[in-house]
Amino acid sequence: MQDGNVGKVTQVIGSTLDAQFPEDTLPAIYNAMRIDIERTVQDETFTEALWCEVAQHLGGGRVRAVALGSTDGVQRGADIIDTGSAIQVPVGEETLGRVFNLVGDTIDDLGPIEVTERRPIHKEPPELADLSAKTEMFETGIKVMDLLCPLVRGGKAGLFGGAGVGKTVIIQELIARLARFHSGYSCFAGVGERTREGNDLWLEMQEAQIGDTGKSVIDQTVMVFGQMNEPPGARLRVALSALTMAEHFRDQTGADTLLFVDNIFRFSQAGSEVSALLGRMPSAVGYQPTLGTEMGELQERITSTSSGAVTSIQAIYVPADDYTDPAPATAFTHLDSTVNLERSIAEKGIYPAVDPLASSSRIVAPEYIGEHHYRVARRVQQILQRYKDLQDIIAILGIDELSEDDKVVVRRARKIERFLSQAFYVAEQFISIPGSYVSREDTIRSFEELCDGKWDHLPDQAFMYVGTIEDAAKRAEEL
Amino acid sequence: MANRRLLVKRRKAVRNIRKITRTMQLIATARFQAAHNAAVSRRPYTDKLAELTAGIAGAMGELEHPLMKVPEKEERRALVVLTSMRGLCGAFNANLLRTAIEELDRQAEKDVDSEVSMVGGKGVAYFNFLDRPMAEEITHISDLPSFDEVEPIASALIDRFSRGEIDAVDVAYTKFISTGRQRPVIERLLPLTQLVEGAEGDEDGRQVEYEFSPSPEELLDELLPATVRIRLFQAFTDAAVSEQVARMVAMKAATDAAQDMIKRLTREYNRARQTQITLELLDIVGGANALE
Repeated sequence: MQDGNVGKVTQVIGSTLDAQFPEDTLPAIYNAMRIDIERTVQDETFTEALWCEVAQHLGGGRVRAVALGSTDGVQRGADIIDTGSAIQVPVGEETLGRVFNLVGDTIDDLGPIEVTERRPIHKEPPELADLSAKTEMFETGIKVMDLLCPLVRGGKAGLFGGAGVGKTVIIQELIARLARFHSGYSCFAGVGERTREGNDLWLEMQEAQIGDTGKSVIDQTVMVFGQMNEPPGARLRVALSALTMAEHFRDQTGADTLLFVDNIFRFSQAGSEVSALLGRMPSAVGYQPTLGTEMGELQERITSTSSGAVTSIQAIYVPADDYTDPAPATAFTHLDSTVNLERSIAEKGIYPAVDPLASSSRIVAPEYIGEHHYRVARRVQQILQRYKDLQDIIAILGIDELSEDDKVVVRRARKIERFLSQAFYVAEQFISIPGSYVSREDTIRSFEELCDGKWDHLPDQAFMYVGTIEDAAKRAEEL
Repeated sequence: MANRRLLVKRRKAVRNIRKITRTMQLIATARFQAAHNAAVSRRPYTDKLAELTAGIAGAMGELEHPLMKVPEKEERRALVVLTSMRGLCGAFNANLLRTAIEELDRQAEKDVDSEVSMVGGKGVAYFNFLDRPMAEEITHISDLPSFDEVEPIASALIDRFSRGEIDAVDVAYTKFISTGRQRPVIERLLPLTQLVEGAEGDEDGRQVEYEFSPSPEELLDELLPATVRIRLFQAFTDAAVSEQVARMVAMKAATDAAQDMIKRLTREYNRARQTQITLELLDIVGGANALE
């Protein structure tokens, strides 16, 4: 790095800091700056680089920057070096199979990597004319998702849910299902979630094989982590680092690329943490006033272009199960399919706890998924909606007061509700039921027969954690 | 955050339901008292009549009467099912209809033709839903059935039995055992067989010798149909009492459930209200601080 443009740190406020530069060489917004901090740990002295990113120009040659690491040990008057460009991360085939932090350093203890190309993490979203307009369903083999909120190939899917309803498990399951049968590359961004989960995922990917090629899933995957332990600046930018790597695969190789982000809410949260320190007035519910812009800048870049498709699956935490909270609400509008996880369903022991009435997808329309699939999906939702409407009456007057038709609806709805549960591959060690893959045709047929009342005679319990409807019949015999 | 206005609306709805169920409970209690008193005051007459008939039948030894004749082979049978006219009485109708349908299926397996006389709108609706045939639909019996209402039904059955059109008549109703217990039962109305079996003397085991005038045959011609009528009437009365008890219990449970739900909704509403106030305060304080 050239040492041409050097400034001095004038103020440190938590994870933001101010620096004074000569007015004629003021670093541009988003430029990366480096501070070398000398640290002594057990009589061993070493130099550590702290990266910062310019966020604001304060006038008079002063800039305010967000630190992407811990600001511990930064002193006023310390030298701060402007690198002249935004943070750059390594991209390309060399990055596959490795784990990075947001500035592109490897963190998997396998040594540094040699790359031919690095790319800045800030970039304009693709032009309107470059966007791909193809719409195709992406089969997951998970009944409830394929039926009611199918993923779009090259589209964006969001998994919404409060604390502990199973967002991360579904993300990991989707990685296991999609990456295993996926020929292209995968990118995983760990944003402000548990470090342990990142570790689990990494180990699992090393074990999992892609089809029967003998290659591990990790060989086709790049992982970027900025977990809970990192300062807000890191959590704010780690998604962009992962996205930059994914974009390169899309633009250069044209292969289908999967981008998993867990958890987008942490990105908004980190933004709100630095926002006040940057001197912005807090907006609704204490969030940054720029919440919508920040989300838009990130989401607009996650898209498929004519050169290649990026299919992204994002987990989005919903604080206090409140879907009207500004952070999840701003993410909603960007997505092709939304999968809402509901606590009351998780409490019944039904996993995945997908809310069949609140979850939806742009492509649940006859012209995309076909007339038959559409009709079955809507029928299932009608039955469940009727059941939901009747719930208060049942709670007060009891089921005997319902009309005969409604009783049938309630009985079927209870079966459908349970049939929406499914065993996961990644959860096999916890529930000791092997995971099941149900093809879309089987899913549609099973639910249609259920709606038609062909399986009214089976006990409700037979529908828990089975694959196709025939499996439920088999289970009923065992009970 | 739960929508406050929605919560208020729901709570209002549940309150209205509670008002209705509580009223229904009170009405059912009053009706139960009335029906119970009627049934109790009628019992001495019914008992005495049964005793008398049994006495005469016993005294006559071998007796032949059309209403007591057991057909060689049961082929056609009538089943009178006593359901309620109105709903909101819990599992009262469901339990009885389940028993009745089990019986019908059992008889169908034995190749016995059953024709159903359905009393009560609820049973009629259920059989229509199941597409099961009914020979007769009776939906005009009052909450406190009077003898005049029951008598034509009984007479019609007696006539048809006497003519040999049907070989047996059963009645399915909810027997009132105590306020805490009612059980759906199926009892045989015709032919009158249990009458003779239960006619082995009175409480002391003595066989009373009667002298008859007019002749016992003539007496029985009068008494046996009366017994059948009274028995059917008794079934109607029992069903009515049981229905009121069932409604009382169901409405009490509903009122309690509504009460619980109101409590829950109130708590949810208060929490939502407090959350909103806190958030607004935070916004105001945050905004004011930022301006300083």
